[in-house]
Amino acid sequence: MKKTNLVFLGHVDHGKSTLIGRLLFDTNSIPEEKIQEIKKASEEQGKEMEFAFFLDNLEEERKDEMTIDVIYSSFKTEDNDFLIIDCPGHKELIKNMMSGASNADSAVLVLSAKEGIEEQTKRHAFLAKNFGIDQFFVAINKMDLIDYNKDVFEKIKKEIEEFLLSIGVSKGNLFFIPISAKKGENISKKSDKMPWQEKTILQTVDENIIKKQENKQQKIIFVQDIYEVDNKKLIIGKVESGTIKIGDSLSFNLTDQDAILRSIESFNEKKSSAEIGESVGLVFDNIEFKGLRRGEVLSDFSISPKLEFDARIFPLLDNCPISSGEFKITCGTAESKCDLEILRIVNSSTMHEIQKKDLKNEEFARVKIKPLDKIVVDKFSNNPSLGRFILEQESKIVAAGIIL
Amino acid sequence: MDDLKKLEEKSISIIREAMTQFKNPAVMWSMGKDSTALLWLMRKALFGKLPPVIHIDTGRKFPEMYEFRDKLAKEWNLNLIIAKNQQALDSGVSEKNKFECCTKLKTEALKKCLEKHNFDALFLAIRRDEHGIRAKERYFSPRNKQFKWDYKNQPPEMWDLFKGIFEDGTHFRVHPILHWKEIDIWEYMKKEKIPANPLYFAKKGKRYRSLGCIPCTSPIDSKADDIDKIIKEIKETKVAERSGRSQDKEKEYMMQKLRALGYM
Repeated sequence: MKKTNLVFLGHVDHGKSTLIGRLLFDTNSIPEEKIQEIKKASEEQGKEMEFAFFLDNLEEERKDEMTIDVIYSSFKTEDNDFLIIDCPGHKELIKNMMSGASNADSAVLVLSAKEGIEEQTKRHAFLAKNFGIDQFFVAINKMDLIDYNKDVFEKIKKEIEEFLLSIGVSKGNLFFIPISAKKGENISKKSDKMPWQEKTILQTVDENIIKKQENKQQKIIFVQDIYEVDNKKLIIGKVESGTIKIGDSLSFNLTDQDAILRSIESFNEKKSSAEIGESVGLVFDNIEFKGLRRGEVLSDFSISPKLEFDARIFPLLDNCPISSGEFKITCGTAESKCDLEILRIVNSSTMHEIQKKDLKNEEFARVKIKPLDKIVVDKFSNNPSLGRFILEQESKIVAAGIIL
Repeated sequence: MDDLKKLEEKSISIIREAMTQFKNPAVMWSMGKDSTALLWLMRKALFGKLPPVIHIDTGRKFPEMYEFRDKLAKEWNLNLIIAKNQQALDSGVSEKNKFECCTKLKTEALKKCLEKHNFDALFLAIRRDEHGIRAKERYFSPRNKQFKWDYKNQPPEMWDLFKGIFEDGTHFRVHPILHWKEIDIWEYMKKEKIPANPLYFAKKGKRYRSLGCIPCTSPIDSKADDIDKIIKEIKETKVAERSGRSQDKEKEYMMQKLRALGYM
């Protein structure tokens, strides 16, 4: 069974939570007791069964009919085990949407057939694409409100397809499904109101979902710490890419040395190899510990630490504009103060360039970053884990970025 | 790597990350399956050297839980801190007012313990699939000066870049098994042979699926008297894990209100 993370994106009120609620309900993923509770909570507000309530658990979310923060749920089919990530659709809550989307493999982009493409429809798709999501299931929702009209569906489909192709999604990774989450049309059961649509959204996702590509060739380990265990120094780290084996020659990119891996250790256990995602304790032949610290990057190829690079950054906070200046950058386990210079600001929905100095959360920017300490980085397109970072200022995480 | 191994490796990485970033962490242990599995994971991550372990003792736990605590504390050589709101217990807290009881005996007891020991991070074994409110949590989750969880304005948490940055808070909650499910915990307990509290296993047709205080925890009908039967039962059931826990009910958003104040 394949495990994948599927994020639901789209403009506020276009029906993300309702669609997920319906999917969970239709796949029998909700305990009976919870169904009864939701029925009651819906009745108290004078509504029929409100599927969004399965996700929107906060009192404020139900009263205001909006998702505030990301919520994770899951359901299974015969072939897939989906982790479902529901995101808020408000521009002010973009930090929550980005937190959710940053760990997804694939996206369902929900848009209302009645309203069509709106500001966050494009912004969410663009941000997700930048974080490495290449596959989009476009759910054109609320078909019941436009009498299941095929022409309207085709028109919206064409428009959003053009946009998605323009930001670099390939045609083979795009799927379009007309649905009504509220009425349960084309969710898990084929709708007889839209005989022209062949497959339901559940079927389409189930048959086509892919995992985000991982770099399996190159070996990369981020050093988290150095532990002393039984009078022996262990380099503690996480394998970010590739598979390491005893006998491998690895480069220490910050301290500029090469060494042979002698053993891979965990609590009361020794291993001969460790693969991507594993947390390890490493012992090498003849290494110099002086200067060796958290932030060091080990690899089977040499990456020289950079003191200057170009990046694209995305502000996370509402009402917290970003200007050129000093920040703290974190990339993997490496941290450094850095100088940041904004080169170009673009609206992340309209894609219009804007002539101004400070960057708001509805925009993104091309920037130049100069770390004060050497840090090991790479282009996001080469090695995602070495190419993504966050920026802090005044004890707040203010932006996320990818290295170009 | 199989799925259990992936869950374990991710948790180990989060534990090590928090241990590096915080100066004075502690781990909360309720003697239930999740927090016992968390202690196990921390032993693995930290090569057997655990930070202080806090048990919040409401005085209303099952005798089997106290026995289990003392036995394992000795076996694993735990630095156990027992946090008890004795003042509240002495002045009498009615178990009938569940909100007040949980807040005084758990949240307040924890608050006092943190003030005394100056802990800046607490490892907690909550999971997203337990409750809709817990499903909203981050891995690294700050608590503000009033000890509160500002669930309407949580900091971003991008990729696996977990950050313990203090803006003006008291401590962070660290949730290394947030992504695990109930079934994963049992399968892991089986695989690793982690000791489980005897209350989880059926006796006379009843067992506890989730453990809390005596007045607010009820057993379920079950014949699962060993770990394999428990795994089978969870795979087949449509009943929620914490259905026997009264503070979880949707009514009046009790869990949300408790957690906002600093409840676990």
